[in-house]
Amino acid sequence: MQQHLWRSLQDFAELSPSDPREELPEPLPEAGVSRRQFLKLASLGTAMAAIAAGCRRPDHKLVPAAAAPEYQVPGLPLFYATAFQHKNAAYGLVAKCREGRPIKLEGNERHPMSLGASSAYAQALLYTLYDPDRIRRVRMGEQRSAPLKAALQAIAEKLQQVQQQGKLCYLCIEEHCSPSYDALLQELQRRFPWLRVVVLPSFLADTAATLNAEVLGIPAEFVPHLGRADYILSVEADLLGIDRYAVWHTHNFAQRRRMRSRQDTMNRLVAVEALMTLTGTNADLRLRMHPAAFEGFLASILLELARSRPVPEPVRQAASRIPAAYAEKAQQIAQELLRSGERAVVLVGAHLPRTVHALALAISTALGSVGEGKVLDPAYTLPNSFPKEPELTRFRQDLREGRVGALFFANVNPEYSADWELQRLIATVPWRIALSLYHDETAANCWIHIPVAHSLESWGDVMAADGSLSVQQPLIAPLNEGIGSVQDVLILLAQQLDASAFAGVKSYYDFLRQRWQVSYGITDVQWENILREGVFAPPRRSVPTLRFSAAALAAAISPSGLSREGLLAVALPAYGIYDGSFANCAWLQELPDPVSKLVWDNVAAMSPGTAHRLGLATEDVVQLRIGDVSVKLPVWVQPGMADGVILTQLGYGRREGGEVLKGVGQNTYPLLPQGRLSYVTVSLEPLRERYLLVTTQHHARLHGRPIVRVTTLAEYRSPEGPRFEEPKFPGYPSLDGQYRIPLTIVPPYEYKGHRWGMVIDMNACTGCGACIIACQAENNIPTVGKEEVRRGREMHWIRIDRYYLGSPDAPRVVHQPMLCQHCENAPCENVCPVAATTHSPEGLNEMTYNRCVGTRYCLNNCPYKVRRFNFLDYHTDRRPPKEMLFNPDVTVRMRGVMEKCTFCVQRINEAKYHAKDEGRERVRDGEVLTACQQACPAGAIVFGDMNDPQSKVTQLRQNDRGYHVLEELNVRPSVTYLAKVWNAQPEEVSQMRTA
Amino acid sequence: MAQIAVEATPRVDREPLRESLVLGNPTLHDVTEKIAGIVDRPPTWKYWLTLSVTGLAAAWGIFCIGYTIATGIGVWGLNNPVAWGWDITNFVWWIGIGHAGTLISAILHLFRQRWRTAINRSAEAMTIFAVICAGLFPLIHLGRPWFAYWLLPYPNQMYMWVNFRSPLVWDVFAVSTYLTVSILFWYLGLLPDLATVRNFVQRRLPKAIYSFFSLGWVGAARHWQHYEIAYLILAAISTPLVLSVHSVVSFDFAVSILPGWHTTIFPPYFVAGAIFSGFAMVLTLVLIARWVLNLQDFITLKHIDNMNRILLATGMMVGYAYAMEFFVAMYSGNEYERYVFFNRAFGPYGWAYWTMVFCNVAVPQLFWSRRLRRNVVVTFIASILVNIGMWFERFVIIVSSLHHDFLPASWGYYAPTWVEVSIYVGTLGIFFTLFLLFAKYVPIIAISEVKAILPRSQPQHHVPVAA
Repeated sequence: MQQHLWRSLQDFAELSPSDPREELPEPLPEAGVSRRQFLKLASLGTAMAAIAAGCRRPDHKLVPAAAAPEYQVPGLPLFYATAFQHKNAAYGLVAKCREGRPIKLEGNERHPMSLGASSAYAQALLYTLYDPDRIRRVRMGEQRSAPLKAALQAIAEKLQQVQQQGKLCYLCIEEHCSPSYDALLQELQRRFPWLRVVVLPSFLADTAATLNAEVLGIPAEFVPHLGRADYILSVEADLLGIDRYAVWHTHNFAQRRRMRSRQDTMNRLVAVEALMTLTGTNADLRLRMHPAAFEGFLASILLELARSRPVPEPVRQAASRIPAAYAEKAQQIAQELLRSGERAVVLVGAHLPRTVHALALAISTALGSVGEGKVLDPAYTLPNSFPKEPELTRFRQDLREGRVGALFFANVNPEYSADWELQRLIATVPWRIALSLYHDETAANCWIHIPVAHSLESWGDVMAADGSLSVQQPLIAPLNEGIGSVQDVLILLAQQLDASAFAGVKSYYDFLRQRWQVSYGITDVQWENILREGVFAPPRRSVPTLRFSAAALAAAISPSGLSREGLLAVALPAYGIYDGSFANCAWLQELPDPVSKLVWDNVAAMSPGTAHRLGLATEDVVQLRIGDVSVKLPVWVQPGMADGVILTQLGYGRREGGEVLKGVGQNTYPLLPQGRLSYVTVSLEPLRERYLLVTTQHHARLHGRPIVRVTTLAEYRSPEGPRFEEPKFPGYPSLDGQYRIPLTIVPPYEYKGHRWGMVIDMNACTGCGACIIACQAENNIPTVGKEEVRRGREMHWIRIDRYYLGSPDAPRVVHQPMLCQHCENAPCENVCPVAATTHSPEGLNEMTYNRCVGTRYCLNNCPYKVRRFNFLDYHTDRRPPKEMLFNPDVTVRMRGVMEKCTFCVQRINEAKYHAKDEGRERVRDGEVLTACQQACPAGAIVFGDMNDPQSKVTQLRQNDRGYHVLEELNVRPSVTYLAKVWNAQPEEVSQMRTA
Repeated sequence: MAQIAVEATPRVDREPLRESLVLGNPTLHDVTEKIAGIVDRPPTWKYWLTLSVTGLAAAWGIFCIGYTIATGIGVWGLNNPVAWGWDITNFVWWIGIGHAGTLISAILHLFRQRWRTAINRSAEAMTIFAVICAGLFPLIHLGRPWFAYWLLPYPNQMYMWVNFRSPLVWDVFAVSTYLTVSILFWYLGLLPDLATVRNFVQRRLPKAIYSFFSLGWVGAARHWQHYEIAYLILAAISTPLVLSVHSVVSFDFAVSILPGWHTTIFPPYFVAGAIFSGFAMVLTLVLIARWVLNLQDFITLKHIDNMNRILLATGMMVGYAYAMEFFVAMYSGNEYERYVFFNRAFGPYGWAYWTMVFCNVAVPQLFWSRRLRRNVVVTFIASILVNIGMWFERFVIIVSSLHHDFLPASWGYYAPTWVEVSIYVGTLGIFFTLFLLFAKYVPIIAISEVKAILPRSQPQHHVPVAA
């Protein structure tokens, strides 16, 4: 749905030329009881009588806005462009607001790196906005509810003391990508020389940026442009998973795999992994390898390339000193890389040793894929990804030497994530002030805690990796009693310290607006336009020229010392709650890990071989020890991992900061050496304990069932076409609706108007899970908690089934989104005794909640098991402002009723109203986007009218990869799946059919 | 009784060709004394003890039902994919038990099986109580049981009709019809006996109550004539119900598309299973009653032998059905069917399957031996085992088919919670409480019918001169 974003009244007037709501003249006051007053009194009397007579639920006052906000029409949504920064990655967003509150976030189509899509994080942002656990009042010492003014005064006094003592004050900030925030911080440091700013990331991942600084002269991480890559060799780089620009990567990656026809080309992703990352599960070829072998493998590739490509001699020599590994395979990969030339790239996980990064950079450079317009483009670098370690070292040094008198923590939580030494040092600072949303571990140990505004409540700006800027526009007044953002508080504090500071600036908005005027020359008209569009491309920022230093590269290549002996462990951000900053978001806690399908826990994942060798099984508890710290974790046996490696997730084991996060998982930050993401050698000690782990999927095998169809590119292109595994039924219906034997005596229903259908391209879907959270946000789907998920009662309307094909040691993985198939011959419909689930004339399988009595027969008879039953009342957390999270267009279901995917019927109806208003008989193709489709960064979901021959969905249904899941049952689903194509050699997929 | 009065054919003193159905050659008065006496005498402490145990179980079950309704079905172990578990297992089990009553009363009556008279009253009572217990489950297993009446086709302001395509609606009709006809049939058969009790008891209040319920029965020839015709008609109406109710219940499964449920063999298979379990439950109950109330003369080894023969026959039928299901699954070439049946026997619920096979197929084989058929202890144990086996049959069909269906990604496992177990125990409590009340306040054996089959009532019987 192309939403025109508008900002001013003029815009609105332009958009709606014939507004039927004309202004009515104000009626003149009359003497005596006016008609209006009479009606008021009459209705009051009726209401009183109703109250007196009724003994139902307590009445709530419905107070109409005396002075309604401009443009606000009750029941109609408004759309505003805004932005979200997930650490230093920017998302352009469009927020749908109803009655003054944002109820849904979508990617901004005009944002060059969001492209209308979003991620689970962006979707979950809304949950955090309305999180009842957010703190509302300033805490000062023991005083639970202090005025902000008093707190600022007290802080200013202390800061003056600190300054007089000749000590420093440090402001610890999170990773961000806001140029105005940077400007503000610079201004603050200029004005207050005793103030220092340090970026305190939850974990350090500096290797790439440091290497780029030394070798190429740019102190930043590349954001690879996968759309330009034909061949991607990923060495544990989780581009499609936890990477900062995973949305953009997924979009670009999937763009090259759509396969609209057999002639289309397709990229090839080769993953070299010891872990099982989401990216690895999407690989055309996945090479399972111990991390110690990565450098040898890459060195072998580099040496092979050096035969035909110019590789600087020192680099070649350095590489030849690395012991080779998997040389034969490396040769093959090298040849493939050479064939793709500058359209091939090697990408490396942030947690891998410097040597691996250096070798990858050497290979990419040799292939020519580094440079302007290439895959690794200096125009696409991650803002503020400069190496953080030097500053941090200085910070530690200052702390150690007792030179720090006061500490500010702005949305950072070192008490949880920092290493033990840093935590100890921080505790020595007498005056600590926290500026954060939650009363988290750090805030709990601070002298003053100022609750700040959420990013959806405050102004800001963000810079994307391509240099484009977006304004973060507030969508609602701060829910925490009017206290502004971190930046607002800092400005107030600066003014408290020095009345002359920030003259004429009342809030961060003024600062931001002034800066945009000065730096980019933005006039008021342009500003309005930027707010409406949501994105602004500043005059092309100077792309740094690369100064390649072979010597520096060669120096970086030396054996890393990773050992095959013993156990290697690595802790990486979780797919759901990332580094723990989303730990209080129940949506993300209950989002199944896309690979393991685990919810509400982190684990020590290890290969079946390792588990067997150590005599461990899933749910056994082990203690991982590194030096003198240890972490207790439950074991998870993960197919596809290399032996001798343990993967665990960060972000769990929080102690403070909300009700949701309590008691969920274990804190694995102690496994990071000095806070750095990297492999470490650990010792493992099995404990005689068991721990219950909960997943949403218990069986990963296909049992030979033709539920997912897979083929290889060569086979797909061959004249005979792909040999899909077909149902072993005589006379099962084929896709064109022609049944080989008649299976029904009833003439088929004729759909005269719309007939809604969906196509899901399994070749594009990466299994990221953005659709699950988008659906949850759109359709008021509750979370149920670990215990209820254990009982198999998760409520997600769309789930992603993950199947393993082949051996448990090195399986191939297929992700299959599964939702209500809106079967034409729906088996759920005829078994409902009360006709609560019926078929609409537009082909929707509709669920009438208030007719449902809850026999659950429909669920039993659903072959896809996509119906969800409210076994209990799952909307129990009614603390304000949680109820504002609900989408007012969707019923909140009570216990005892069945629910399921509706194909976002509320969006269909809205589009139909629009069409009717505009005098159209039909909804245009693309006017209705389902929530899952809109969020999907891969564009794997297409929804539309199957009766419209021109619609995208009709055309895709005719794709020769199309099939219906369980079509042999003659249920005639409305969802068509497009088979998965692997760009792999036949021998690489030899086991895939023997699932 | 009426026949005896007019009998005047010459009698020959000889051994009866058939084993007598009433032992001890009681007089008509003895029969009345014996059976109406149970009603008239105050209950013993044993009775009160038993009643308090069953009553406690019933109360606990009703509390757990209340808890379920107040909190939600989530207090049970049901989930996605197993949305039916103990609830529907218990429903089908109780309905099945409710089958023997009508079979014994109606079909055996039509076939002139005189041995039914000793057990038909208690079997019919058992039927009614079992159907009451059965009917409870579809009501309380609803997500919103307060809307259960929506399953009835009644005119309403919503202009909503029920969905006649749903087997659950057929269930509502089948079970309610069955309950109504069973109650009528039972009550009609009771009329002469209620009148006998009315005449027998001396205390005023019981006399008034029994008078009221005997509807003015005086045993006139006209009464008997109408009675016999009405009884025959009701027997004729009930007979197809014996077959239809469980066939309809089996449609709950057979009409679905779930492998393991979608089976054409289900109606006859379920009816056979129902008769099987019903007779097992009748045996359990009458063996207890026979022992507690000293009814050995009326419920003889001959009766037990006959019922064990039926157990053997119906047990073989369900055994055949089990085998046929596997054969059809194998022969169909349908991979989902094959998997479900393989998984049924060797999957996570294999233990339940083999329990079922042992109880339902192996145990009845004992009854090839006449000695074992007439052994009360063996019969009692076997009847309990068959009840257990038939419970597991329904559990296996429902749960093992649901837990692993089409898409392996949605597979799950189901285990009941204490609430479900309590409700099941509670229905056992309700059932036995009702049965105990029945045994105390209603003639447990059809007095008039037994009198008609006394040796002395037989045309060829020689009345000793001394009498």
